[in-house]
Amino acid sequence: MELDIWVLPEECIAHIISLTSPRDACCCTAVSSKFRSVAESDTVWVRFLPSYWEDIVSRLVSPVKFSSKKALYFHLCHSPIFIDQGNNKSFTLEKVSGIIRYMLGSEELLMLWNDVPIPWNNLPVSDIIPSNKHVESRFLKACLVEDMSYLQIRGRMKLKLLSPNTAYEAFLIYLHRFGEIEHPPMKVSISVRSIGKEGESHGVEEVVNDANLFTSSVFSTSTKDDGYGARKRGDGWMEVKMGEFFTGEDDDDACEVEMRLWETTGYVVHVDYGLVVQGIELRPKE
Amino acid sequence: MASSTSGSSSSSKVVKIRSSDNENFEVEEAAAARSETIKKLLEDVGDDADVIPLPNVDAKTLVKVMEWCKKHMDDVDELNKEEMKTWDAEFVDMDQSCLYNVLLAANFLNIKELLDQLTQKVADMIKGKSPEEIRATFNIKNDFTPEEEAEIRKQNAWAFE
Repeated sequence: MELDIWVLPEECIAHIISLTSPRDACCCTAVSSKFRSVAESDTVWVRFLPSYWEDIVSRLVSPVKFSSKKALYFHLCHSPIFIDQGNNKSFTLEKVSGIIRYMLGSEELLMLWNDVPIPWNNLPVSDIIPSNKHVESRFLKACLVEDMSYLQIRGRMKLKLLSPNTAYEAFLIYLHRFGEIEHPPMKVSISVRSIGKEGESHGVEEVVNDANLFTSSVFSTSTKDDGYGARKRGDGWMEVKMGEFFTGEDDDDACEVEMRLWETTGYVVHVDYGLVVQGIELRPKE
Repeated sequence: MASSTSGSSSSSKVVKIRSSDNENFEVEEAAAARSETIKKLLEDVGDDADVIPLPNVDAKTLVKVMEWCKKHMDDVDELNKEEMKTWDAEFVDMDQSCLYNVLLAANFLNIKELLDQLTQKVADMIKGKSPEEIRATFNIKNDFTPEEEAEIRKQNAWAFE
């Protein structure tokens, strides 16, 4: 006679369910009452939370009370969850997989002109975006850029804040304030590196690409096939890919990814123009 | 004590272990020491050990476990990694009763790598299945009323799409 799965101790079955996925664990809750109690246990759901979940919970802008790890998991799936002060960093878990998506608001980014840092022109979103544009903004503020020549935008993120062993893509989230103009493609790059104690960096692998922020630009037609193209998002914003990277096993605190976008041609726009930057989104590669 | 890195079986020391149904086995120490539990027992009794009794593991299961330990006795070099993967996949492909018994034995004998392979095997039998398919796979009786089950499915509707 075949043995029943319940010859295994409950902790063992909980461990087995934690090796599946959040979706599979939810399916297990409908199998039988005994299966349900194990599949809803904290032992299972703590494995689907980011490993540093306690740190995240302590940094939430709106504190959360939760009755179980499963309840906390679903709370963190509701986008967006703001962490740290200033409402300019948010994250969410993908419900099906538990993989972390992250968004750095414009105030978290560095802006340079000819390699010299310049102050961000961060303004309330309602002041810079015309009311006839229907956009849902995650952050209260966005950055308005009126002159793009030789501009550089830079964002950094610690790898251990993302899901391990996951291929990620980074996107610049932006909007053309008064509509599109003609402009040459910009350069984008991604590099993953480890910063040493003295501030020196190791293992820089920089991959540079062209990015067309302007879908209708005359310049973009020639480079459409080899560069990244702009896309309209469901929330009304535009996005353009900045590159991709793999997080790996490394939970080294010093490992970070740097995302850059810069203008190399010095092209001057002779019309009233505004690029509104909401931030950089990091999400698992599809 | 025989070195666990020694690949040749002729020079390895042999230890005796006894199953719960009183069958004795002679196993190379390097293989038996894959079990943290046996390793600890051997250290405690030293060379005076006659037979090590394993009251929780029957002969049929012990044969399976020792088959795995013998295969995993030596360090695997890069070349053999793929071959070992195939061997492991075939090893865990056993009927459910056997799978649970070996899993319980791996837990008692504290053989982490084997335990990981077996729990992953059971997890793979759950992955991507509907509740009906999970019940059928593990022969589990549905003890929910239709109303209860409908309510659970409603709460997690996204998972059943």
